[in-house]
Amino acid sequence: MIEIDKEKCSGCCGCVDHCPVSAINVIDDEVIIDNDICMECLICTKVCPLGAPHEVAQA
Amino acid sequence: MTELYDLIIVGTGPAGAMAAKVAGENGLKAALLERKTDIRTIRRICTMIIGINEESFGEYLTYNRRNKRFVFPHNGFSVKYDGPTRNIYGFHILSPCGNRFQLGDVKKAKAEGTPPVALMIDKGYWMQIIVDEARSNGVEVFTNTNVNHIRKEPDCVILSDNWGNEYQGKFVIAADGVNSRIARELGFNKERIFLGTYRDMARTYEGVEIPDSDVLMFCMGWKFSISLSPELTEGHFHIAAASYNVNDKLDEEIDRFLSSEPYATWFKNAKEIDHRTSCASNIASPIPVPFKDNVLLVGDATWMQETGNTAAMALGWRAANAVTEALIKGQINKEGISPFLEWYDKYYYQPRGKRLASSGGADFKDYLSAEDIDYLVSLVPEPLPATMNAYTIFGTIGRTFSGLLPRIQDERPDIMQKLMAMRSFPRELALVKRRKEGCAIVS
Repeated sequence: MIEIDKEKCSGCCGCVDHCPVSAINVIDDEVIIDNDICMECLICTKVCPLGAPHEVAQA
Repeated sequence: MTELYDLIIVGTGPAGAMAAKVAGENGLKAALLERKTDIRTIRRICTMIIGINEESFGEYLTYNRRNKRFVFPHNGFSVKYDGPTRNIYGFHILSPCGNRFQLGDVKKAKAEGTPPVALMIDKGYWMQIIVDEARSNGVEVFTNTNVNHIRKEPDCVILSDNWGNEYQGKFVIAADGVNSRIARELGFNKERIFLGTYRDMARTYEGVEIPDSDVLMFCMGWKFSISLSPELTEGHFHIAAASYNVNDKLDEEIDRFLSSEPYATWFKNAKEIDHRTSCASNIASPIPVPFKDNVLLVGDATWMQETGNTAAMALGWRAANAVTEALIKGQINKEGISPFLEWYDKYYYQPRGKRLASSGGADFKDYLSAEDIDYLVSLVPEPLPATMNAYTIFGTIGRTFSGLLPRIQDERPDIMQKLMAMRSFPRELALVKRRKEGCAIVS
């Protein structure tokens, strides 16, 4: 699954815009990935200029 | 059942905020949807520099200091802005060793009291006051609302958000920015030429000392494009690095820049402050006709990268007024809003948009070394007339260096050879490179 590192995230919404399935939203001014919708295409990890979204092992 | 709005606007950037303000003033039953809650804070990178007293998409924006309003005389309206401003006197290109290609003589302008060519403003504050005005004029503002889908029904356009809410409107104005999801869902991107994925990141510093710094500075000769722009507070600057390759580490190149002279000296007492900003923008050719199924697209949603604040606001204003006219005429269709499309075609697409579809060429950094850039910039030591119009900037640079080619051939035939190789680099190959290095949003 994909997690967004809050320390790195600027809130620019590049990942929100690029996500092909609208899995990423801005909620209370935080960029949040809905892992139920996420297809793990990894586009968000590629486009973020700050490297905020990253893969994490499923718990 | 949800109510039917005359108009729904998506996005509270310059285009959307302006459209909403007009919708309120015109008495439309309107809703404004925005995914952020805090409109005041800008998180997507922006120099917040607005050009004044110069042509931009047919408009000649100026600032009325007495009444604190930005004036759009060609379109025929003005907007309140009573926040702080900082004068910007031009655009400078810096070579790695610090030589400057100056479009604007800062020292002279300040000494002689010449009006600035741009103002740095508090953009978030401005957006907030425009949205507040829209709200007080009866526009329903829904923040924390991500518009993820759009569909057309027989009598209306339906927008759905991440919470499962739906909003129905006779018309929609899509001001959802450069990576517009609405443009994507309506199929516009399939017809556009993909020109790259532009990623940019900026840090803010205090305690920076830069000579003649009341300008926007673009630094060439580095691995990625680096820019320095002044902030409202003296000594505060943004430093940004940008590129078209998703694998590039922008942060590291900023560090490299900051440790090189003369820049290390400029930043010797500097400290990073505030929050970082960034953007990941899908760069595609402008949309020829920004309308489909009663959805009007405005601002960056129609364009290649950015229209700029002035052009975006003017388009938002035009669109909301065209919708008003259409509603009065009872023509809820393309013909009803035709004044908007005519304006866009005349001032945006024909003079600028069409040509941008053929952008793309060799990358400077693939051909010219840091020393080559130092040499080229040193050829133009005298400042040229100040401008902040991007198209004038490119035109001036092109003309200036075309005139210098005989001298370059004479003094540095090696550099001349590189310039010729760049000129003859097939555009198709450049586009292939951008496709490979980017992440196109198509559908």
